[in-house]
Amino acid sequence: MKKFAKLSCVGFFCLALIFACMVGNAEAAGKLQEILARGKLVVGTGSTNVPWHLKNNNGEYEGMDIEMGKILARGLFGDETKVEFVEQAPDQRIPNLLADKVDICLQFMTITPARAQQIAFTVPYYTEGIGLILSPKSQYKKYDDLVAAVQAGKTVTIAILQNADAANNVQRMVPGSKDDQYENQGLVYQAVTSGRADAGAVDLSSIKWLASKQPELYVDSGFGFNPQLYGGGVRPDEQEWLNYVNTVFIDCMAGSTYELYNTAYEKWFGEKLPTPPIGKPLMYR
Amino acid sequence: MRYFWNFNIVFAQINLLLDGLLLGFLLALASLMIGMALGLFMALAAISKHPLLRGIARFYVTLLRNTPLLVLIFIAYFGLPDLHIRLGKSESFIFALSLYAGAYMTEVFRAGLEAIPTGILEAGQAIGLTPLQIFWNIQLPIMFKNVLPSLGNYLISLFKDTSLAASITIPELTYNAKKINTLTFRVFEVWLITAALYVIACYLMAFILRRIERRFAIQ
Amino acid sequence: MSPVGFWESLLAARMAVFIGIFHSMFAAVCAIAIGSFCGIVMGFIMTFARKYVVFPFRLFVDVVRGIPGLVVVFTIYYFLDVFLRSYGVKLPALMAGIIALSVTNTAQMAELTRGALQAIPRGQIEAGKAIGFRFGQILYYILLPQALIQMLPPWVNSATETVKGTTLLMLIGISDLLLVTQQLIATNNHALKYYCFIGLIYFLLNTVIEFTGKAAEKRLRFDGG
Repeated sequence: MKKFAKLSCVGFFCLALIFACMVGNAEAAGKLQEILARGKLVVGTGSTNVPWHLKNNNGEYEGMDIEMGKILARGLFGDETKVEFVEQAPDQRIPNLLADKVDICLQFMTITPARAQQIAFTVPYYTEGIGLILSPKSQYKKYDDLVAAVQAGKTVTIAILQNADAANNVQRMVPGSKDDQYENQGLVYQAVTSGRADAGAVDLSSIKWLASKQPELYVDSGFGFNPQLYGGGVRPDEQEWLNYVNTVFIDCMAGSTYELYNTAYEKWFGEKLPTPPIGKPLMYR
Repeated sequence: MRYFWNFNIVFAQINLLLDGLLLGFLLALASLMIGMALGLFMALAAISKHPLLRGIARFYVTLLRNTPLLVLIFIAYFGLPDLHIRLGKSESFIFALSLYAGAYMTEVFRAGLEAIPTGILEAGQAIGLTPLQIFWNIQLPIMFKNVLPSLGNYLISLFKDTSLAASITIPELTYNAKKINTLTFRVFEVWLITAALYVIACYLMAFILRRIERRFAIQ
Repeated sequence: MSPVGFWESLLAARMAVFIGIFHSMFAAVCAIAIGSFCGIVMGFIMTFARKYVVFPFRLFVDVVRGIPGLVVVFTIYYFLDVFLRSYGVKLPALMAGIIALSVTNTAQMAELTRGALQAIPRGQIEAGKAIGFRFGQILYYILLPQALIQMLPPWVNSATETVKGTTLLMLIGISDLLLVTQQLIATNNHALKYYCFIGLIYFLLNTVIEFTGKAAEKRLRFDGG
């Protein structure tokens, strides 16, 4: 009995020590120091939305969001491979940040005032618009056909990714249409190609990419609206970390590391960007 | 970071959740009905003397029981249009869930039919009933009484499976919960209430089903 | 770009598919192992412990069995995480998924074990006591062998259920077989063929489990007389 008591005492202290270490570690330093000490950046992203984030045939992540993560890793460690991408559904972008599952979210996240109450946004790295993508098999060939169909009293279904503004945006694009909100972007495309939806509301950059790569599956409806800024998201109480990310992002878009951003941009959007001009910084012109 | 609980935002939309609950129940009920019809035919095939029929029933049961329901749902919803078969949204889901339920029903009914003592059937023959009469007036009622408890359990289990309909945008409880989630960002509150609603609904169903069973047992 | 055929695209993506299968199987095996162990222990407690000890376990089993697997996965993914975070522990999505599947499996196994143990006549325990067995011996020589044989078929059932349940993990962003498939469909189309293909993979995996279970049952019954 005595032995048992002794053993359990030792066990208890060990456990207490472990917990104390964990709590201590978690509260000691800021996010930036934590990441540097860890030697690896953890980025929350997705895998079903070209050209932002996808997985290639070897199961590796690719896309513009991924490039931004690599640029950040290069800034942190001088090595773009020291980054781990964590798969998350789009509706987990904010919860995963709040739950501290990821250091930063780089997943085609639109900057909105409502979201900014929950998380902190970095500077934007792209201006995106929403467009409508159609299937070549569809009875509707362009945007006007969709509007005409609704006015003629037909039910037009538009597939869209589940998010706070989804229903609202669909109404603004094709008034009177019906919205089907899917859990990931891949399902939205499946809804379009299988004819489950008459059109899919997705990013213009994605439409451009898909309509040029797979014309037998996707057609651009020729409609686009709603400019929106894409930025990274971090936890709101990590000001130092946020400053760091902003510095790296601004530098890669307008400063000494411009080639990183320009190369990535050309790869995913098919357009060559000019070298940042000497003189007044690019973003103030 | 501290988390500030706020259930009011979710309670303000409780109607949306309750509507979803009802829709889920209706989907489950419809699938159970169709599944039962399918299961009865397959159960008869499974106990028939014809090897081909037995083979079909066996194949159907193993195939459906060993395939994830979510995959079946995606096949019905996204896959079938490739074959120019186009069912509506709810119909696709009910189609998938009925096929799935049918496999379980086949097993339930087969066991129910086999549990009937042969003496009773022979008695039926002795008083000159035709095979159809024996089936309709003796086998079927006895079997249903035998399997009633498991039917109830499967209804509850199918009701829980309707949460998967969220993945093809059918507005049942889970879909609506996710919708409120994206609108309010109140992740924890929403899932807590959703889980509680499911548990309460399942308990209520189990309670009512037990009463129904008891009534049948007394007769 | 010309349309890519189904088999071509599958062949090109074979690594991704293998990784998906690996994730699914890993999650399933872990969940089955954890669930079986915890479930059997819980089943014993629920059969033999005092009433007030049984109550929390009963509550756990009933509540978990009343919630759809999907909702269990989401709830665990967010809640357990907040809880663990206060101790500075971070929970990867795959771990959360495995825990969620284990929780469902545990509840199922606890119920199975309790059922199997209660089916053994009480007289046998008393007989064991009469010949001077301690509780541990009664457990080991009398109850466990019978209960395990009784439980094998439903255990195999719940194992296949767990394999099927791994598809839910795609919804919290784990690259299981189903999510990998969706990634492939997003870039290659061929929805029906892809879904049928992975349906077949799940079917084969589960059929292997069923056959192994049947073979084991046959052996056990034979050994047991």
